[in-house]
Amino acid sequence: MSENRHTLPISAKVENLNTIRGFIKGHAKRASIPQSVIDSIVLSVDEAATNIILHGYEENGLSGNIEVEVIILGNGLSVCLRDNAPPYDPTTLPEPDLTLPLELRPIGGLGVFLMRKKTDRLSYRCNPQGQNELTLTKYI
Amino acid sequence: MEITVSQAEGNTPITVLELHGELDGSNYRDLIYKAQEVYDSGTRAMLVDMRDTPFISSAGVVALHTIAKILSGMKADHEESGWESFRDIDRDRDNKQQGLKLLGPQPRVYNVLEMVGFTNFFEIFTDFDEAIASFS
Repeated sequence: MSENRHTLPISAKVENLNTIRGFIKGHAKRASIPQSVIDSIVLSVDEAATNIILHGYEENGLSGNIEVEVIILGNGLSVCLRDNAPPYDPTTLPEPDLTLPLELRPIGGLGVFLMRKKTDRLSYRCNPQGQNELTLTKYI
Repeated sequence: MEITVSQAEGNTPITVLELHGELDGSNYRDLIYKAQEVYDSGTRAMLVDMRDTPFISSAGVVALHTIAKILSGMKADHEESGWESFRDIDRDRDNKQQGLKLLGPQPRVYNVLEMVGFTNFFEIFTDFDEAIASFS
């Protein structure tokens, strides 16, 4: 494994969100990524991982793992999340209508909204192993 | 995250919920349950002290929204899909929610509250005494 890639396989449970955030923060800090970039990617990954755990696994009565891979880039960082829950592509959800007054805006979908706002690039694929693979990237 | 509950006496009795730690998908329900518990015991004014909360995700935002609904007399749904909109919640003429106020969110947390529009929805204070005095 390249020294710029760090992988954490972890059980998909909400109690592990804190460990996932800590794993990303630790490697990003060691790579001297600016704090504002770390804050953005940590929030985005937390939102993505929460969705995988609650909607991908738990709502379907499943349990499993998430593989978290931190990739340090020359100009930022990416975090790749892989899971074995049913196929789910958060990048295809419709954009929330931000022209609506606040009181008419639905509260559901907030996590995906924050995830998109805080990343510069978001990509999804079903990888050759049949896993969901979501990659979140934030540039410096 | 640990939640400390205390009482403060302003113009009305106020329950202060101090959050110690990160508010995320693992513990947002604890906050909702605690708020429901104090509401059931008679509290109608709550101050959530976020000075010791270094992180909030959308799950925490949902918890705050649910507490506002509880204080408006609505039974909280404890599942995300049940939450519809802000329109049901009682607000004053300035369009701010009156039963629930927030104290001292750190910049990182404030940023999330701002992005989802909550800084226009909740009164947010930096000073404890000022926050307590604001409840009517």
